[in-house]
Amino acid sequence: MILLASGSTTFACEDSDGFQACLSYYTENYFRLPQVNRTLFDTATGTFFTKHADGVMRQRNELRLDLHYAPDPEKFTLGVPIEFNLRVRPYYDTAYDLTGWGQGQYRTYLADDWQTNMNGRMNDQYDPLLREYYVDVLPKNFFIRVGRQIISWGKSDGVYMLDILNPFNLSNPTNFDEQYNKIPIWALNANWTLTSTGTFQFVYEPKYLPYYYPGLPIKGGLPSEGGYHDFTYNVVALFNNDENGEFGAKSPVDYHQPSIRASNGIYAARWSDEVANFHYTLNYVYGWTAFMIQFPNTGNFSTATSVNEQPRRVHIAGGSFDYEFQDVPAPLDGTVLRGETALTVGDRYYEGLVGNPVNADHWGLLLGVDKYLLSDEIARPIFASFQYWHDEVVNQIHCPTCGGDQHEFESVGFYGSTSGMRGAYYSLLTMYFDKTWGAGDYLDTSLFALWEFQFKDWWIQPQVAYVINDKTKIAAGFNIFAGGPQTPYGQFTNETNFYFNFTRVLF
Amino acid sequence: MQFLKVFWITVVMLVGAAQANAQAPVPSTNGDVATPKMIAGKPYRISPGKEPGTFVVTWGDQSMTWTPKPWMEDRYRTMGPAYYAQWTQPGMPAPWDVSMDQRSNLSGDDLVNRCYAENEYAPYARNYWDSLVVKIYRPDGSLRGETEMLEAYSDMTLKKGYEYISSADQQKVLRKYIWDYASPDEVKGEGGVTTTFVDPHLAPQDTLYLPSVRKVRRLAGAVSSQYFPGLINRYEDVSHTNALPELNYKIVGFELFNPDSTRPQSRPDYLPEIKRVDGAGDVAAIVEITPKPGVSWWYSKRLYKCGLQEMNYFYDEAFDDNGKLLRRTEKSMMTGSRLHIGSPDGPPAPDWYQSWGVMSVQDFDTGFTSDAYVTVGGFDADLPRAVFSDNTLYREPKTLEEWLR
Repeated sequence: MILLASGSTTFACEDSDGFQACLSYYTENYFRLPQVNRTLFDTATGTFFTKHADGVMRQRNELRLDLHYAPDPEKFTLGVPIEFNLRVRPYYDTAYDLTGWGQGQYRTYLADDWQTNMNGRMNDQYDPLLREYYVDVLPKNFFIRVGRQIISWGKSDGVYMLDILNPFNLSNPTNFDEQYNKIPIWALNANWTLTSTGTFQFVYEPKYLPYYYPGLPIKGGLPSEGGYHDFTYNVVALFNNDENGEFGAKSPVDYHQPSIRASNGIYAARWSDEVANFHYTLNYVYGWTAFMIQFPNTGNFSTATSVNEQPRRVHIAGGSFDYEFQDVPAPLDGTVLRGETALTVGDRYYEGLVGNPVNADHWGLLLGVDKYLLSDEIARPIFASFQYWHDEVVNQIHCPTCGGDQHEFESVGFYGSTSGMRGAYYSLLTMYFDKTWGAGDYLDTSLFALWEFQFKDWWIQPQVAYVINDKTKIAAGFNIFAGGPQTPYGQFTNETNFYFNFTRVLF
Repeated sequence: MQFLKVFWITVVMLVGAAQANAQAPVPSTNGDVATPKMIAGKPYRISPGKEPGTFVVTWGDQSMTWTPKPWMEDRYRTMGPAYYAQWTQPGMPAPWDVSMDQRSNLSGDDLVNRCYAENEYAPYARNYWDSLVVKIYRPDGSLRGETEMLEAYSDMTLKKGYEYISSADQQKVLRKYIWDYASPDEVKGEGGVTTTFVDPHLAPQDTLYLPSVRKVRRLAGAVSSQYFPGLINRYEDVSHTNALPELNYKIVGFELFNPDSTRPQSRPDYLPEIKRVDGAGDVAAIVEITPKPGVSWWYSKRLYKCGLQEMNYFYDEAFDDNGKLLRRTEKSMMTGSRLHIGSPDGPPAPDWYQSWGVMSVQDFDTGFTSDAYVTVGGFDADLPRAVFSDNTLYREPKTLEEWLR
């Protein structure tokens, strides 16, 4: 009885007999700032056209219903506690109803895939209505989660080397809320706490889901979205335009995801532990390439007449750590050093100007430093985080058919020239500052910046968020991109935007 | 077979006896223990007051009239300050394992360790856990926010919590603490772990779990003086409650603790449903806490009052360089009759068990105030050995019962 009385003080949600239901409304709205024209390839006419881009990029309206059931202990099977969770996320993007504005101008091409997850046409893959549903089984010293879920690995922010069990939905790559950008996967996630600090984790994913991004969908054997979506990567638009007949003949695409079979499953294991002040993980994944890979039917895009789109098997092995410097002279004292590294074997990169997929084994390394700044001077100090990341292709690649600039690889901003290519070594730096203001931390300001060493492009995101009350929160900010037109972030210069979002708890 | 039966019955009885002994190493004879006659070198006396139910307490040349309040625990309201004598018995575990005549000789940092850290972390039990509510009020008194939180503590001083740390850490880790916000929506699921070390020169370490990324992050640097996420309390008030390496602790006096009856926290209608014990009528050691040379802290001086009988901190004031009052904190405790053994609906704990009960903060810089109070709490839950780990946070427990699985 005391427990129930305690449960009823969960203010925002409805509680009863172990059931909990919470419902909130969320909207995010993005408006392009540069007033520019966009040149796009029209698949119907086979020609390029130029049109004003307009401002409305995104107006997502979402209900967030969380259902949770934790039965009383006497209802446990064999005395093992179990808990059930369901997260339902119906959404509707009204930007596609503004047919004369922004993304709404391309409603015909985009609405099927991006407007709502309530039309039954999403195949429940990348932005599912039933977003997460899982059962937690909790025998003593075990934590087993079965169902569709998010499993986060690694010690890095925004860089994903070990944190790869969930693919990403890149329709809005500027949102840091990973629980909504990650695509939940069906998995058995078993954790066994062998010691008070050491946990062994085993993950089995029966179904491979690829990263989902604007321009990926195939309809009638051809890419249906061209480059219409604001956040279509250049390289995707280039491939799509080619396949849709930019150079005369169309190249049909045979899109093939692995079927659900034990031999096609993803298997992963992790050991995490602490040794004094040193926290670490050791990770291994037998999986698939993060993205679907386009293979020319002739082995060479120069002569290809069709494309097979499918993933390849990869092995990923690595680890992560964090360590806090203590009892050492300032400014090192109180600094957290964290790192993550992974060797990926069997990945595919698109090499040379022709862009044939080649086997690429690559080594990633992230080193991050976190520290509170001005902690002696101000009541609420500034949290500062710096990260260095690199990716280096470590195997020898010989591709005589890949065209000019062999041993360089097409990056996501590539659109036909060498300025969009990366070398075997590729690196970037991120900075993040966060500060809360006033009693209760209700006002939060943050600044994120990213700089790429080789491409010399950047992305800055300043944001202000305010908790109006326990049920209402607003946030607003800018995404500012700059750099060369074929660089990973510079390609979005014309997508520089102002955004705001709003959350209201209904119960 | 008969032999086996007798053998197993014997084993079961021995194990049961051992467990009973582990839970209650001293008799819970509150009410039968005589009030100390001397405290901190001065005579101490409790006698009935003029009004029914009141008591007059004298210590040296100081005196006060103890008055019952509706929010007092039943036995305390009946017995008055004599209730505190149960924590003066010989043979008590930490933090009361110092005889009454020696407690006033404890150093300032020892007193803080006992009156707050050990008192809060309950080294005499395998673990302490609770569900609590924190309300934050604007300067005009209106409610700004309300947070529900779940906590679990364990202390290794008496080796009771060894099951929650690795054998390699038994000489290094002193305390473990884990917390999780159950509401409101903005912070729901957020949580963290504090590790306090045996080496007093090492600052506690903290992690923070953020549901938005489903990851546990190591917090940078010693955060003792920083605000606890979303509260007007600081880590120093919540989990970094031991004597900190950055601060000096000095006893500057003793007084008969007589809470100011004009303050809201002393009013009869202040959180009447949260039954508690306020320390009124005990003799308090006053500990002056100041930053060590070269250390910048959020206060220049803090005066901290610790009751010598119940060894519980119940009042402090923090000042800036100019002597301006920055913050006042009042704290009451809950004792065993309000707490549980094993589970939220488990039997009451021995009366002498303590937990923090209510903590009220007045921040004079901003005008904001907050009340935090335990809604359900207890000891010795059958927690998994890795309870103080990322997996507990990753589960995002929503109720106390889930928290304790």
